Amino acid sequence: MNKKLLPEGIERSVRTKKLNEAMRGIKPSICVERARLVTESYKKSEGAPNIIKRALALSHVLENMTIFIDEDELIVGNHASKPRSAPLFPEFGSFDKKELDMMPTRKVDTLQITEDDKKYLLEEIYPWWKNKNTGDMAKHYIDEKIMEVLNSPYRVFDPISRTRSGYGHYIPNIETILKKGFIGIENEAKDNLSKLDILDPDYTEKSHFYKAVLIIVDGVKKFSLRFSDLSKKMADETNDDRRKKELMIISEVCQRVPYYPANSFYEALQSYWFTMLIDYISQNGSAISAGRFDEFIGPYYDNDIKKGIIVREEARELLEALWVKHSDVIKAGTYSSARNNGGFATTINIVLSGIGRDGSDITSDFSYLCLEAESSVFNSEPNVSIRVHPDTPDSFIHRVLEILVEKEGGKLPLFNDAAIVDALCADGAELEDARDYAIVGCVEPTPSGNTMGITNACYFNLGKCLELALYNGVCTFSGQQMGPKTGNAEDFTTFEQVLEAYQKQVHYFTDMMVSSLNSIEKLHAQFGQHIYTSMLLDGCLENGKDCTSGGAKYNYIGVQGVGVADVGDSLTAIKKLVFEEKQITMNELLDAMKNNFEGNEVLQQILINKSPKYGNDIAEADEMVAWAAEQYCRCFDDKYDFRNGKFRPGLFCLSSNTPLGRQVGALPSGRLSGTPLADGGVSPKHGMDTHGPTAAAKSVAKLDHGLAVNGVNFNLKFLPSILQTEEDRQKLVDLIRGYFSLGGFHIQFNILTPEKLIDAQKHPERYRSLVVRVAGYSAFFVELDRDIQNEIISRTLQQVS
Amino acid sequence: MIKKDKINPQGMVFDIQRYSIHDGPGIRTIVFLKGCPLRCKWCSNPESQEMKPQVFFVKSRCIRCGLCVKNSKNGEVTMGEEGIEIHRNSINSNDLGWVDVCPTKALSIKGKLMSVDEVVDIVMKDEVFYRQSNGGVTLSGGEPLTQRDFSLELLKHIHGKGLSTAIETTGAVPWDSLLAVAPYTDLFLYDFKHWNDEEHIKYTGISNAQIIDNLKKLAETGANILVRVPLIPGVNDTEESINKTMDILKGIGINKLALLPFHQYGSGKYDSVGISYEMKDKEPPKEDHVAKLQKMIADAGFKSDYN
Ligand code: SF4
Repeated sequence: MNKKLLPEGIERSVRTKKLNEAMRGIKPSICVERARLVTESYKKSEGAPNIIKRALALSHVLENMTIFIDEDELIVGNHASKPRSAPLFPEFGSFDKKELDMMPTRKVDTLQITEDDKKYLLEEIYPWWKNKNTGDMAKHYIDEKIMEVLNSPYRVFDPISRTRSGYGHYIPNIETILKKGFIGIENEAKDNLSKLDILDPDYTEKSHFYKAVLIIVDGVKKFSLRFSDLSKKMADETNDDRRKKELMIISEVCQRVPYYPANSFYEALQSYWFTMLIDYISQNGSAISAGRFDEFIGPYYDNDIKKGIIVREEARELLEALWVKHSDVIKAGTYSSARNNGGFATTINIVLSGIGRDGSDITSDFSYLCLEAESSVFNSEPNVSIRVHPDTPDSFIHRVLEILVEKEGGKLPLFNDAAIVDALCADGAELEDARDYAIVGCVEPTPSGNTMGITNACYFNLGKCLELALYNGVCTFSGQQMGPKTGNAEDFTTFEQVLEAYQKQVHYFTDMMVSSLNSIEKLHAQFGQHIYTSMLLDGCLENGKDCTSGGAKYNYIGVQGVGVADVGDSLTAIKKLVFEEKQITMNELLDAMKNNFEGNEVLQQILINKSPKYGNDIAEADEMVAWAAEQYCRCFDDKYDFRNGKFRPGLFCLSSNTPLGRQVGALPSGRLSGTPLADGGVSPKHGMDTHGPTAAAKSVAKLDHGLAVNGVNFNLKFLPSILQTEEDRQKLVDLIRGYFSLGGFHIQFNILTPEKLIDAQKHPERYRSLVVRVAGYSAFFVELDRDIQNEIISRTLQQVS
Repeated sequence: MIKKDKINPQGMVFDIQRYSIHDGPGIRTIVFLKGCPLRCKWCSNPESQEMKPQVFFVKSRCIRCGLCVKNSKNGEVTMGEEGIEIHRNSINSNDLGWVDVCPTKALSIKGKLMSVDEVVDIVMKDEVFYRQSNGGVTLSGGEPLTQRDFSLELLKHIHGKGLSTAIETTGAVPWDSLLAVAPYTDLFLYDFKHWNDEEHIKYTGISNAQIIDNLKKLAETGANILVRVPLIPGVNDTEESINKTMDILKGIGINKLALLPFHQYGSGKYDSVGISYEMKDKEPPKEDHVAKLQKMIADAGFKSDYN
């Protein structure tokens, strides 16, 4: 294939493989450079308004941080001084010695750090920030009574990581930068500043805000020019003709973007990357998401193809080079937050396909090209999501499913446009903005480029609330009176009393969560302004207000209930076995639970097997889970933070179901103490959905997803053998469409790998729902003879390799 | 035991399986009915053969709690060294309380009398998926037409709702049973085990004469038939055997043929229902061999679709 823009001499697949292997081969580490630069700048600007301090600090970093261009890169821009290293954000919080010591050895998000760097942080950087960073200041903000709950290791919710973390969790308006450049932002800020009325009571704040914006625009411009210069210099120094030409092109591109509007596909990609990257340099929030990538990049691609500037294959080469770059961004979190989110989950979400602002399908050749890039690179970043509506071509979904089988799944979740657009409208978004939604992080839908969603502010442990409801508010682990005294369950004579106690516990703690988050948002508004973020959000420049103060057009704050399936299944068991059939008494139940079913496995098995479970399309069980879901979501009907940000409930958990499960004792569903809560927010408890995927999908769709507008998560596990032929895939497409027609928001397929099947042999109880399907026959995998299981595993190995 | 009531027949059902994707077009539910005139040595649903309900025991689920033993009045089950032992001769199918008490579902009963309405209620739960995929319901077994009246009523109901209906049949039933269901059956998945009658008798226990005869008559009615040959190594998997089968099929006007390669997934169920299994050591056919035979079939002009 002849290239038109790039010099000949390297194949796309070769370059992508090289870039990807280099990226994957890096051992992640800590980088202290940013901490040094930010501290330097803050020291120099002492006494200035906080927002100005923050602007100066970011500019200082952009002008002075180490930059580099790696071998054969086409899209440039690094996050920290070395590839895939985590910069530090002392203005938000410090790590103590114990955390730093643990980083190289901990099991999740392992980060290397040198002894010198550790010493430097502990002796020079962090002492200066003591009581000046938002994490430290939080103690003055959160109510003491609430702190008592939060101090328990078995707390029902934990907003503390929010105090030490930037916002992240939003979708910047990349399109505006592509079209107008940062020069557009600069002009608007200057214009608005000059037009400010000195009698405006908010004149001071507004003028500070615009001045801060201008400081940052300057830094952004210099940042890209530094790359342009570096590239030029490297071009001069290299003897490799091909690379020289590439570096010259890079230099030209970085001369222009992101300060000036993008004029080509290449410039659009580079402008996109700088724009995203700088926000990740500015704050330690994760899940700053790309939004509708094919919608805003597609026109540049079409245009360059039409003009004959570029051919499809080299467009793909650029795209894949960009795709790889997303893995450069990693953040250092505490051990506990790493455990909640797991695996360097920066979660830069990219959304493909869906309906446009006018309601018609936007799937294009470029959407397919993005899928190809995803299939070539297939790292955890970017986190690519697919929007689906009735006009989405089947062929697009087929391609997604093919990639899932090839790559062993676990990515490319599908989202239901019809249901999500309706829910966003009901939540107050204008129709066109709702149609233009994208996904923040993992599953959270918000409008694009105009919404500060703070979509993952806190997880809320519903399982713990049930435990407290059954023990009069006392935590079974610590004996602490954590919740209100809602009565001894032994004395309950009706099932309604159980429900009432549970609701009281939930209300008590959701109120606390709302209050504490509100306090934390106040703290950020005063000390943690996100000026750069605000420059990328419609509303902030018009209002002269930072997004932390509510400058954006839409403001939300997302709080996730975790464990609806465990709670629902537990309530069903109590209702049926204790109150209706009187098979067991409440005393027996509580005794067995206190002993974690030790010595009473029969009772545990009765709870598991003799009471219907969510996920099997059985009304009795599903309605209870739907009730628990609604009850949680309704707690926030009238809750707003001070930015007029509506509290938006979600029902998803990422990997937090495991750490949250450790805080919950044994439950009446038969679940053992300390074991994970149901994975994937609205998914049935693992192993309990034994009636196949249609039954599970129907159960899940009985929950009102529109209430959980901050997002839900439904995971389905499959053996790859059910997706072997095109006909099989079409049936899965029909399953997706059927589920979406019932109102489901989200579905994700986990194609089981041979390793997972081996795990199933070891832990059959977790995989009870796994079915082997052949004509006229089906069987549960875990019930097959061992040698036959082995045979399936070896065949699975062939199919995916 | 099964009521001979043509208006409200009851069926002996041993499983209802949703999201079945290899038994007809679209997303389907299979209703498995008990009773079968054949005794194929490779049968993967041994619990389907007998008409009466059977106790089914999944050893891996048993926690040896002894509840079943405590509740068995006639010594149906005892506790041995290696876990529980079931004494099938002592089982009284009207007194299965000792099965019901099992807390782990290690013990269960395969075979439940159900009315047409009950089955329809269950299968219609997936209506939205059938409509989306042009799918529907497949009757299987056993031989579903051993329960002719029930099968007929069920097919009528489903067909009447405009959903796709299919039936997996051995063909080893009176011709009028096939004729009766034909108007309500969109697809016959017709098993053809062996072209040679002696071999057929050897491996299935009965002659193939009626099966071939019924197939011919059914083809003459214009019914949509996909013949499926369970491909059993050493029994019917040679090229010659397939050629002979194709000759017979061509002679009676059949033009759709598919292979169902032998598998061992059903082997554990023999122990579970207490039946001996002769094919424990048989390997499934090699994939390249299956592919070769499939190519032969396609080259001979046979199709293998459902439509
Ligand atoms: S009741 Fe069930 S689990 Fe208990 S010994 Fe009998 S078969 Fe095993």
